[in-house]
Amino acid sequence: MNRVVVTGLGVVSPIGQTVGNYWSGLVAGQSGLAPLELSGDLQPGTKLVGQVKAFDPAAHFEPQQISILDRVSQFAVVAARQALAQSGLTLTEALAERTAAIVGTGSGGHSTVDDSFHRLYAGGATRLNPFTIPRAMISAAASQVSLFCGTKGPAYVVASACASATHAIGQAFHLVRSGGATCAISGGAEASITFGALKGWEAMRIMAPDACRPFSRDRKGMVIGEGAAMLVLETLEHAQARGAEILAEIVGFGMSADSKHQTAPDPGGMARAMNAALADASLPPDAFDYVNAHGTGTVANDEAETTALHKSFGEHARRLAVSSTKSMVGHSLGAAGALELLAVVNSLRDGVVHPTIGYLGGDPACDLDYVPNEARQMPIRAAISNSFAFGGLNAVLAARKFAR
Amino acid sequence: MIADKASREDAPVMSDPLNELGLDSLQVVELTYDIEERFNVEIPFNANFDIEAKTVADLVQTVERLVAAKAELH
Repeated sequence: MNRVVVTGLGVVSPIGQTVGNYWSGLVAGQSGLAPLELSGDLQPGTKLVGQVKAFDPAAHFEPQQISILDRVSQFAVVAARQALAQSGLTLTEALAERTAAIVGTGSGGHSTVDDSFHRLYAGGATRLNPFTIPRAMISAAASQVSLFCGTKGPAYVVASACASATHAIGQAFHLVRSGGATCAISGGAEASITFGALKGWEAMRIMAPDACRPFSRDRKGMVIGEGAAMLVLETLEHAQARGAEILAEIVGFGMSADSKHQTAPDPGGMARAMNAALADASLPPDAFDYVNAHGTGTVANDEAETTALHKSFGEHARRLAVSSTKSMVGHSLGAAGALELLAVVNSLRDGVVHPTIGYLGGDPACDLDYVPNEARQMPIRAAISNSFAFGGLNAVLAARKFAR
Repeated sequence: MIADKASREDAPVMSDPLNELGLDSLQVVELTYDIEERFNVEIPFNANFDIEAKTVADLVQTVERLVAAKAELH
């Protein structure tokens, strides 16, 4: 089996549209959550979101290209191009055929669906743009990444709601490890901050009105975000042969299903996914120093995730640094796992973990070290990134600091 | 409506806490939606922090207050 390493990163986020800005923002505890800006007369009750502001499609694409790219595909392609550029890979015909593009997204071209159906049902339109379907189809982000980056190996979208990106990267990892591909561009993208989607989220009554405070006392729920993050994965052998800079090594991937409830989290299912990731990595619990938590900021998730960390890591759980990227960028749903794995890769490389911001103090049900409000320098040998989706679909990636 | 959502034969009494009626969190959210649709009111309710110590009486009072406030507007 091949060892699999990360050689490129790319990101479009509420706190930066380059990896440098994103990572320095996370370490500084910068919040990307801000009042909703939505064009049009229809305004939802949601006030606070993690939007990607000042994203200019024309800076990245020709007008002809923009007409076929939903916002979610634009994010995906921009992040993928950054990752590919950093990796320094040249996709020759032979390598292109050995390179995969596996992308996670929860809802695909949501704004295309929202806009075009509204024009039909309420606006009196009698026809739609011919690109409506290719823009909106949930697989579009993977198609566009393969088109714009020139990959010709396996390409598809993985959808598992809030775990989509982690499932996608996990599949890419296993594909490269087993020899099914030499390289992969993989990550997640989401752009579903629309009137229709926000009204749907409001109806669940789990949205925080004022701030996102994962694991904190007085936390009041989650905040919706958007964005994309992509990684270039490749075999260690291939990366070393071309002298590429290696950012981290992916060592394990675990999945599970709760099979319990449509929305309520289950510590048992979460723990089984973490245990599977550790087993896949062949590493014991005490080999890990950091957990990038799912950490949504809902009362239920954060309590269940804490219980699950105790189950999987036992005594060692209290020695783990645990932080939530969502405290700063919100919950970007199908992209979240990729934004969070980017944080893990940077943590392993730099020996710094970003904080959980908005932390007001302890909750008896959340009794671990959540790196409150201030980043921490610490040696990190290995880390996991957790993603636990509605419907009980769980995915966990394990990574470690690269060492020959 | 409450008995129906909780799949109960007997009607709940006013002092029953909502979270002891056998409703799970999603059913409480559904019930709130059903009441909003029936009475055409908006009930302020966040499942993260409004769920404790609410009784059937609290819910009925809230709905009565919202319906009355709506009537005054007309």
